Amino acid sequence: MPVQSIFYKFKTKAVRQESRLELDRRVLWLSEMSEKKMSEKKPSGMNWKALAAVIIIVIIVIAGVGGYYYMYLPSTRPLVPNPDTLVFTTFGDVDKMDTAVLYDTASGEIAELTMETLVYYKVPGATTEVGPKLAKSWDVSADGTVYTFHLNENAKFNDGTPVTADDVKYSIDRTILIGDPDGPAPTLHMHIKGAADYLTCETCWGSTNDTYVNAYLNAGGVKVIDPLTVQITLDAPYAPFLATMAFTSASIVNKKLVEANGGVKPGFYNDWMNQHGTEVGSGPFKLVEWTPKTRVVLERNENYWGTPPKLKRVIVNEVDEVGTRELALFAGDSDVITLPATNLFDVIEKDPWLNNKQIVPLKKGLAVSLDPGYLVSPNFGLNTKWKDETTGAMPFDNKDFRYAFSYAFDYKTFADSVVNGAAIQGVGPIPPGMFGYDEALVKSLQFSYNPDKAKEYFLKAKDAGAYTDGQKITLYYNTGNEARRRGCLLLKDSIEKLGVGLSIEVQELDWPTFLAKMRAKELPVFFIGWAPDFADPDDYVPVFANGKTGTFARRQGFDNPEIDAKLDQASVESDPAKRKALYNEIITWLFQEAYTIWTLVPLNMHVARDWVKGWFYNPMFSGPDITPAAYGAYKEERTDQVAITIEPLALFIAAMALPALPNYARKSA
Amino acid sequence: MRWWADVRLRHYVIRRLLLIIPVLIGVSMMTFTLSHVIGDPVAAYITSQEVRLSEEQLRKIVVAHHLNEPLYVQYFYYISDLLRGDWGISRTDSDRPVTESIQHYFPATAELSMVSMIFALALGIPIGIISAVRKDKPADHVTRVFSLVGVSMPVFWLALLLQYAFYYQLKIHNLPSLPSGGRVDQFVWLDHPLKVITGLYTVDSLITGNFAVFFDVLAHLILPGFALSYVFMAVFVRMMRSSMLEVMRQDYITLARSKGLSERVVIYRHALRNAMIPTVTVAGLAFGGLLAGAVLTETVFSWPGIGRWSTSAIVRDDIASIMGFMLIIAVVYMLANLIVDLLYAWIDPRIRLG
Repeated sequence: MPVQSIFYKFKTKAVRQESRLELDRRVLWLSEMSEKKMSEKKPSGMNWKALAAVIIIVIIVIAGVGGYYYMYLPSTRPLVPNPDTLVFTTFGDVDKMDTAVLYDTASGEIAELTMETLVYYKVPGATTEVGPKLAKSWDVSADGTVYTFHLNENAKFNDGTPVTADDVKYSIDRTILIGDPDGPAPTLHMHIKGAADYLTCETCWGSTNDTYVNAYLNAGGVKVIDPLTVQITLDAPYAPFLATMAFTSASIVNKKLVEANGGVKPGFYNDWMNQHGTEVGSGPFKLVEWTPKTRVVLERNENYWGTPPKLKRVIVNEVDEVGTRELALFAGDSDVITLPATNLFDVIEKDPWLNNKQIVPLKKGLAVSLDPGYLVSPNFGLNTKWKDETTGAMPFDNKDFRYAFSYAFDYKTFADSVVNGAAIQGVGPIPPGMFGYDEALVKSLQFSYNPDKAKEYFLKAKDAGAYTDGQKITLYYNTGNEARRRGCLLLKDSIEKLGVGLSIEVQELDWPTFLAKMRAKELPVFFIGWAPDFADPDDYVPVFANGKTGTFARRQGFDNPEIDAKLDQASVESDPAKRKALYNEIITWLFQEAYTIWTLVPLNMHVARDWVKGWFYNPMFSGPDITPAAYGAYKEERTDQVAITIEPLALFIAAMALPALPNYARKSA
Repeated sequence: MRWWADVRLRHYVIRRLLLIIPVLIGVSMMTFTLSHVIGDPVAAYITSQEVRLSEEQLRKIVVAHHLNEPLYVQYFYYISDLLRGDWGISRTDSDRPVTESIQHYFPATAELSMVSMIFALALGIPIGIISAVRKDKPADHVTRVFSLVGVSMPVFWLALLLQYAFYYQLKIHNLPSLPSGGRVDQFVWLDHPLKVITGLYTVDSLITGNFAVFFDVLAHLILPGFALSYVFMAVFVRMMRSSMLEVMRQDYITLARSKGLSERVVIYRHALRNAMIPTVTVAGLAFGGLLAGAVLTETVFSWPGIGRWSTSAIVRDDIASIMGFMLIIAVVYMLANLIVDLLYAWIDPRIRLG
C-alpha cells in the first residue's frame, strides 16, 4: 500500500498528529522486525540458489575437463607452430622503409630481407669479404677509381621486371640526391664522383638546389654503359668502396614503381617510399604489412630470381616488455627474440658462463649463441682541451693523467656486472674479426685494471701540475642508458677510492643535449659508442683518431697531422699488407696516447628455439637474428605426443571455477 | 528519455559544449608556451646520428618554422595550421602527420579503456554492494582484501602475473590460453584481413561480419582489460561500499523497509541510485584518464595505444606530437566531465541544472 494514502484517511490536525505517532511506532516496530529478521540465521539446509550455483560449477568443471580430453589428449600434435613462418619478437619500431634514408638497425633488418645491392658479403658465414649479388662481376680500373659492374641477366624485381643498369643508376643517384644529412648518404657515398660537393652543400636539404643537382648529375659518377653494365667513378681511389656498396643505402629500387609513386625530389623525403620503400626491391621477401608499434609482415617473393628462401613468411613483432618477449619464446609463439645482455641468465645458466664461458640453456628447446659483434661501445672519450673554469686546470692534456684513468677502470667487473660477461675488454677502434685487427698487438697494448699504477700516474700528474687537490671532474652519459650509468659509477668509485684528491661526479644528459654539448667540446669525459656502417677499418679508426674529421676525435681536442696523413693513406691503399701496417701504427699511437678508455666490445646475443635451423652469424647484418632467413634458415617440423600431467588440469579447473565463485557467494547469501 | 526533452538541460549541454572552445584555446596556449619553455625546438632535428647540419642549415630551419618571430606571431601560425588540420609531423612515428598518428593510436586506447571500464563497473559496483550489505561478514572481508590488493599492486606486476598464469602456464600445458598481447593474433589477421573503419576492431569486425577477428580481438582484450580495470575496480568497490553504507543509514531506507519491501528492491531501487553518485564522478574522471593512455599496461601487453606513442614523443622531444596529444586529451577530459554531469541528472532527478 502506498504510504501517502494513509494520510488522506485522517482530516483533522490532531488526528493526523496522532496518526503520525502511530505511524512512527509502526515504522519503528517494522524496522526492528526487519533488522531482527535480517540478523537471524537462516534455517539450516541448502537453499535452491546455492544448489543451482553448485550445479552450474559442476557442469562447467565437467565440460572443461571433458573438452580438454576431447580436444587435446588423443592426438599427436605438431610441436612446432607455423613451420613456414619465422616469428621474431623484438623492441623498437621501424623508422622508415626507404633505403635511401633509413639508417637504423630496425629498418635495416627489413631492408636486408627485401632489398638487394650490387655486391654483398659472401654469406652464409661470418665473412665480411664482399662477393657478387645483383652484379655477377666487376672490373676495377688500374688507378682504382673506375668500377664497372656487370649485372646478372637473371636478376629481376619482385614484380617480375628485370633489374637494369638504368635502375642501378636511378637508385644510387636517388640516395645521393635525397641526401638526408641524418641518413646514410654522407657517411657512405661521399666518394662517388660529384657526390661530395652535393652532400656537403648547405642549401641542398629541405630545398631543391638545381645548380648542385645538375653539377652532380653532370659529374657522371654513375653511368649506364649498356642495359647490363653500369660504371661508377670515384673522386679518388677508396679501398672500402665495395663495402659501402653492400650497405642498404646502395639498394637497387624498381625505377618504374618509384617514379609511379612520387619519384625523386632532390633534398626531400619521398613520403610514399618512407612507408613502402621495401616493396620495390628484388630481395627474397617482400613487405606486405607494416602496422606501427605492432608488427611487420614479410612474405616470400615468388618471383625471386635467386635461390628461393625456405620460409614462406617472416613476422617481426614489436613487444617492448622483455618479460613478455621471454614468455612468448618459452611458449613457442616466438622463434627468435631480442634479449638484452642484462637478461642473459633468464635463458642460460650463470656459473658455467661466468666461469668458463660455457653456454648451458636453462630450458629445454632453447638455442643461445654469443658472438663478437662489430660494435665498439661504449668508450670514455677524454677531452684534452677541456679546461676547468674555476681552477684553470686542463688535466686531460697530461698524458700521465689519461694513463691513470685507463688503469683505474675495472674492465672485468664492468663486463661481468653490467652485461653479465657478454663482452670482451675493449680492443681499440678495430673490432675482432675485422680486417686490420691484430690480436697480438692489441694484447700487448691494452691497459688492465691496476689501482696501484693508477695512483702512481695520478700522483705523477699532480706533481706536474695537471690538477690540484679537490679537482672536480664530471663523467657524462646519455639519459636512460643504465649500462653506461653503472660504468660511470664504477669509474667514479675506483678513482675516489685511490684518494688522490679528485672528486668525480656522474651526470646524465638527454641525447640531443649530450650530442650538442659533446660537439661544443664542453664535456670533459663522454661515454659513448660507435656502431658500424660498413665492414672496414676506415669506418672506425678515423672516428677515434682523426683530429680534424673524426666524430669523437675532434671533440677530444687533439690533432696529429702525421696520423691524419696515415689515415688518408690507409683509406686509399690497395695493398692489404701495407694497409694493415698503417693501421697498426695508428692503433699503437692511439693506445699510447690513451685518449680513449676502451671499455668493451659487446657480444651479439642470439636467443632462439632450437627448431630454427640454418641460422648463422654475420657481424655486418643489421638484423643478425632474421637476415639468415634470406639464405636458407628454416624451421624444423617435429611432432610430439602431448604429455598428460595433473597440475594443468587442476589449474584449468581453478581457472574455470574462479569467475563463478563471487556469483556463488552472492547467490547463496 | 524524459530528461532530454527538458529545454534547460538541452541548453545546458549546448552551453557546456560551447565552453569547450575557450578551454581548448587556453590549452593550446599553454601547450604552445610549454613547448617553448621545455627546450629548443630545433633540438628535434638533432637525432641519434652524428649531426651534419651546419649553422646555416639550422638557421634555415629556424626561419622556415618562424622560430625567429615573436611568440604571439608563432602562436598565430600554430593555430591557423591547427584549424586547417595540419597538426605537424610526428617524428617519433616515422614522420607521419600527427593527425594520422592520433587516428591510428587513439582507437586502440579507446577500445581498451572501454573494455576495462566495463570490467571495472560490472565487477566493482556489485562487489561494493555486497560488501556494504554484508558489512563485517566474511564476504565483506574478502572484498576488502581484494580491493586493497587492487589499490596497492602495481599494474605492470599484475599484468605480468596474468600473462604468466593465463598465457604461459596454460599454453605450455597445451590448454586453451589467452593471448599475451597485441590487439589481434597475427595469423588470424593475415588469414582474415579486417577492413578498418572506426579503428575499434571489435566494432569494425562486427560491421564487416568478420567473426574470426571479432572473437580473437575479444580474447586479446581480456587480460589487458582486466589488468587495467583492477585498480579502478578496487576504487569503485571502496567508494561503492562507503556510499552504500551511508545511504543505508538514511531514513528513507528504513521507511522503504518498513513498507515491507524486499531487501533486493530496497537495495537496488532505493539505495543504489543515490549511492551511485560518487562512483559515477570517479568513474568519469577515471575514464578520461584511461583514454590518455596507460603506458605500463600498453607496454607489457604491447598494445599500440596512445600512451606508448605519447611517451616516446616526450622522451624524444617530439613537440608536435606532444601538443597534438595534449589537445586531444583536453577534449576527452571535457567530454568525460560533461557526460558525468549528465549522468547525475539521469541518476538523481533532484539534481537540477543551474
